[in-house]
Amino acid sequence: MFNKKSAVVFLVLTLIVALLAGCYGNSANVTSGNEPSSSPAAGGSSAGASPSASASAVAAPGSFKQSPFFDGKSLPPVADRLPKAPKLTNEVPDSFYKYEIGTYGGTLRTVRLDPVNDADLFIIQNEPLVNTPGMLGEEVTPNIVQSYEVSDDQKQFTFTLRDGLKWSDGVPVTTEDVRFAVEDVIFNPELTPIFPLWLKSAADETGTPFKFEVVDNLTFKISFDKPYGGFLLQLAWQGWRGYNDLLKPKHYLEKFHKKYADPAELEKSIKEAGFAQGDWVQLFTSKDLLNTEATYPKALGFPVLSPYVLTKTGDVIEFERNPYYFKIDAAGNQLPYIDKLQSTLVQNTEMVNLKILAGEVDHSYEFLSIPNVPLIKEKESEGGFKVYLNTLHRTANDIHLNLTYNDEAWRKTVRDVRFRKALDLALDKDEIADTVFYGFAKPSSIENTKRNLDEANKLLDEVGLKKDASGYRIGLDGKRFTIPFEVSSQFADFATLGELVIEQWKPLGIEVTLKQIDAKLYDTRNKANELKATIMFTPGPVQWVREQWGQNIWAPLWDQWWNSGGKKGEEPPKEALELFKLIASLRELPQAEALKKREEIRKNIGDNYWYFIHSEDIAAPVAVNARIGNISDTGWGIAHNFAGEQWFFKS
Amino acid sequence: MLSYIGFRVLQVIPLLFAISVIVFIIIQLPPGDFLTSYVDQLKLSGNDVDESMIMNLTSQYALDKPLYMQYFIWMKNILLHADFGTSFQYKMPVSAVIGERLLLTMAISFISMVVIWLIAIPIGIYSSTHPYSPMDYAFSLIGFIGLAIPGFLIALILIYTVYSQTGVAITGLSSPAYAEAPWSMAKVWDMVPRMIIPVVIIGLSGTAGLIRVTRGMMLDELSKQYVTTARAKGLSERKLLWKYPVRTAVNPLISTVGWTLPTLISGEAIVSIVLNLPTTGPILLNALMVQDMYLAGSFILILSVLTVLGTLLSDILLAVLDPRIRYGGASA
Amino acid sequence: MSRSYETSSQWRLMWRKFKKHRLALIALPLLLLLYLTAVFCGFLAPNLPETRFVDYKNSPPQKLRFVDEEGKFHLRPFVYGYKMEIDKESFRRTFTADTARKYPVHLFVKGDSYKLLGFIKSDVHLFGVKDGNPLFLMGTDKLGRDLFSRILYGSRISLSFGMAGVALTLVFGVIIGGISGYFGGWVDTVIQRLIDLLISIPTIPLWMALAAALPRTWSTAQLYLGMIVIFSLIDWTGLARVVRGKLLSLREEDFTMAARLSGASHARIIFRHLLPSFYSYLIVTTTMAIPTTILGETALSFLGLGIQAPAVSWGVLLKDAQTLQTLAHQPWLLWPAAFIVLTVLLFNFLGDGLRDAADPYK
Repeated sequence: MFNKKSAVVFLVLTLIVALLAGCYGNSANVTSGNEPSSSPAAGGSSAGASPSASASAVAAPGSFKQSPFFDGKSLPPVADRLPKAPKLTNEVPDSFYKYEIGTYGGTLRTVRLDPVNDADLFIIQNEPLVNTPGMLGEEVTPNIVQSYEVSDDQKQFTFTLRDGLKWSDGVPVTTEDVRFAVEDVIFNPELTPIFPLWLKSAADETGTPFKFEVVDNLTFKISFDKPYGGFLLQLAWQGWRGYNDLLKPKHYLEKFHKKYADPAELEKSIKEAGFAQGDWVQLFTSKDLLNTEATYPKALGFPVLSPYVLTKTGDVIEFERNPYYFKIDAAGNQLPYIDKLQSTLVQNTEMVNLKILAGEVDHSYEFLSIPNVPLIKEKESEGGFKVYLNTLHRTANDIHLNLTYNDEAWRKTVRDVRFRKALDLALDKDEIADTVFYGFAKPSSIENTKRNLDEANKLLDEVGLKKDASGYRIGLDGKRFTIPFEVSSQFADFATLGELVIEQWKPLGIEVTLKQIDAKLYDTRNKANELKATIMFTPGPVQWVREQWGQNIWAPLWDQWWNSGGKKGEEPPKEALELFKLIASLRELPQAEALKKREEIRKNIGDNYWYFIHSEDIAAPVAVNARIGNISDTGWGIAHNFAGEQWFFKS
Repeated sequence: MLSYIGFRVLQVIPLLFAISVIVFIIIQLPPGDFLTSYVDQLKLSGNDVDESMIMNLTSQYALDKPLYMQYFIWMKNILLHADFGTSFQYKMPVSAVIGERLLLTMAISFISMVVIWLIAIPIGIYSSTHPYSPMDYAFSLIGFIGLAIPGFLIALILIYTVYSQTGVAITGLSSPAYAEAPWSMAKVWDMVPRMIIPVVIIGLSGTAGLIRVTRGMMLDELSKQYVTTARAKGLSERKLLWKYPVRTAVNPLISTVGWTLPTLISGEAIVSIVLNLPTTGPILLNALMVQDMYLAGSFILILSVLTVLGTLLSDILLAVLDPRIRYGGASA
Repeated sequence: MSRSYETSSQWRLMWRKFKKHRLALIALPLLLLLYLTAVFCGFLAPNLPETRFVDYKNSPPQKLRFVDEEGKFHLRPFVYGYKMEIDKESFRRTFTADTARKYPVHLFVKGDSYKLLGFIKSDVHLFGVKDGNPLFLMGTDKLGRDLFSRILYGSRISLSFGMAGVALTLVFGVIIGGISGYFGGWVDTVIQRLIDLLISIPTIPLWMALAAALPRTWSTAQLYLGMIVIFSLIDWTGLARVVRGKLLSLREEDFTMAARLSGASHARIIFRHLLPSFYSYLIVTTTMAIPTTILGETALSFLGLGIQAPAVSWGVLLKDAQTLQTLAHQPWLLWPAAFIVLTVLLFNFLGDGLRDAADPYK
């Protein structure tokens, strides 16, 4: 009762202060406000992208507040640190939860298993140029940019940066930073030998690279020679794209770039970093921070636009709030609410669980798996945390056979669609859903769902895999046909599923082995085309926007061929090529048509059994400090993670 | 004395050399280790950045040179520049990764050793002076159980029991408040209760072993003629015990430091992995899992060298305490 | 003639002394029983290790009952089936005994077929319930597999590993130690330095490194052999020292000189004359080494460096049990630990007894 009352009082006060500030430009709150500080928060224009409802419903704040963290830190006033038109946060749609104006302070503690990479923090830190609220792909709104405009023929995209937007070291962001990222990095063949497919006008050999034009200090144009309607979604969400593909802090990076740096200084830096003489490319790569590397040691001192700035590396990684972060809430508070992030390296998932139980973790999404939820839930009140059950934004563990592995007999067998169909027929998807997900998932409808061992065995006979005396099938090279799964040890459910699949495929007479390997080794071996069979999740089957249907896992060489425009890898056969084209075509279509096209992708996979997607609608548990506000169990867990700057500690 | 020390030090040099060769062989062993896979991956994607990366790796690890050259370059970097290479996982020099962790490994091993001695020797002496008494049986039964329970097994059980009984989760050597604090007395003090579980687990089997050894040696000593003589001459039981048999029995125990230390470091490795201690064990396991063989090799090398030095120190200590070794040792 | 009398008397003396060690006397038959269980696991286990009972995932052990829900006593024990529910709130699977389904336990039941000793096909199990109904004396794992049966099958790898590992160690230790002690001189020096070298490398990190180096394409059988070789390569040093020490003193004895003078070859002298004189020491040392080896295998499997699932060994089974979730909600998965501790304890008792017995004149 009291809380409600005080909230109302607070709201009224805020409004009054805001109005006053609006009237008298130089009120107490906006001290050295040379610039008028009341402009519309977020303004998108054209192409079905309007500011979200929540943004327009609230009166634009006229004065800004900062975290007490910055008090006495001799920074410019908050109004000067924010862009003239800060972004009113809109990351999470109203349907997920009712936004609360938060309070400043606190440290958000996470845990990680990788020495340098914290996936949970990476999502919080990630900022794209434009965003799609709730990660739903329904609409695109401006994020880093203040506005964008799309030509009617969907070929030309004009972006305007926020006036007064600054890097975390206070240097203004201008189109010169964009030009640097485009002309000196993307179009530099030394730094970018294979031109990224998503920046070409079409995803096949007919595609030509985009054209780039600087209009003025804040406006730039990107144009394609063919319609590219999905370009904004590519920027917003495809493959966790951050701003940094098209926007890099030139003032920081130019000293490592051959074109700008003093040759003697550059050579000195190369030597210090331990690279071979003249190898500035490696030096540059080792200094340039990609969005996926947000928690790497090289982020130290690297100017960013994300909510937090890395201040310490090592077993404990620490971040502090970015004084120049560009987002505010409806009350004019500069985000984020929480002052610091802290990520601790632990050795195994049990330590993750123990730390959660002990209340030493404020947010953990990545490492909480369904089998561990019962214990965690039991101790919710003791540990002061809460388990939210969101939906998983991807599948959890699909089964992949490498169709391009360098072994003729293997290739011949696994590329036979009858073989793959047989394996799918032998999977008992209900049992998988029950064993691996405790029933918190549904069997996928993409591929055949009814288990039929007789038919499967018949198909395998047709393929020509004969059984030996001990009942095992012989491969086409005369040796026992073996499927050797190598799965990443990072996710316990991979091994559980693997053990189950071994048993489910046993009646076919197929020998299956299982080995857990380290996540990093898995990654390297996958990229080196050295994995024969594995288990890994894919986002494609769940989110319509995403193009990752595991192509790089079940056919690394075909995927490479496709991505390099035929320069590398191997050409895929007809059916696979069709799939690659179908997937690529999504990017040119508006949502309604894309959703229809998506059915064709599902059908293609359903017909060809490229890989085995056994489950859909999977629950995603996340353990969160019970005091954290602005989070709920509606929507994708990852969408809440993405809006981490809005979390706050309730007192 | 000096000549004895000099002799022992000289003896250590070929040993260290041999260890480094063995470690290098281990590094070379696994097919498809991280470095190889990584180079394969780079070759497959085959663009310019990767070409230069391959060349860089090739020159750094002398991959294009014969094996013995690779060994010499590896050794040269370690001896001349203290450069153990770069960790692929941490993206940092190996020496930076190892630093404090090595110190903690040594600290825990050393503390465990002291605790083992403090517990085992008195019990061993007691058991030998009261052979086949109920307490002697009780101690040996406890000892047997200590030997039979694998440390990694009880580690998690102990942690969980502590958590479920008290609500305190021991998730490392420092409580979160001190985890990142600079070294201070308060931080060390904070560590003490958290050290108990690892020290108990690591010390468990060592204690059991040492009790048996002490008891055996004491029994041998006590059955000797001089003890009987001394007793017959009316020397008090206490004086008799402490003046001669204990001293002669404990002396050789000092030389067991040589084999206790590697055992403790071994035990520490596994227990630390389960207990999430910021020591060398977890990193070694990680490195092995990723097959980051240069990092793993460096660890084994350093641990081995420390063991050798530990043994050397204990030998010298022994020589100081026991003149027989000092004079007889050089010729043996 | 006289030698055979001597030996038999020595063995008899040892046995007399051994009998006095009560713990060892109990340990011996129990260990034999364990090994027999491993050999006949197919017959003794009610289920196959990989058979999944899909309605019984993570189910607690069933109680063997004699008294039914109406309080009636049955001579033939029986178990109740379980009703399983997933609580959508707490995420827990709860099992309640379903008194409507009563499964009497029979002896010599027909069940899944297995191969006894690897070649005798059979489908008779010592005990079980009929018609493929569940019987879980120690509960089930996450896939619904009978833990008791898995432990029995797992003992094959775990128990034989100790034996095989130590056997190979014995071979290495005796040969190398024998050569070192018998020949002396520079051979001895080289071997002694080699031993110093191996001892100074911490064992478990070395095990870990070598085990991690085994090719990942290897099958379980190959891994098993590879691990045994690794263990014995590291472990032989202790034994070699004992052998050497003994030989050094024995080779100065008159009977050695006599054998040499009568033209016996080195090998013959070592194996025919010298070794038999300290068989007892070898047996003791070997017995004491078995538990260490078993624990080593368990530790490596537990770390994921040794034998991995789907192969079944006690270490692999324990890996499943090493989660907080298990400790809190499925403590029965810790049963393999009890078997490990028991085995190691028994071997230590036996070794202790043998050591006392080895010196029968004391």
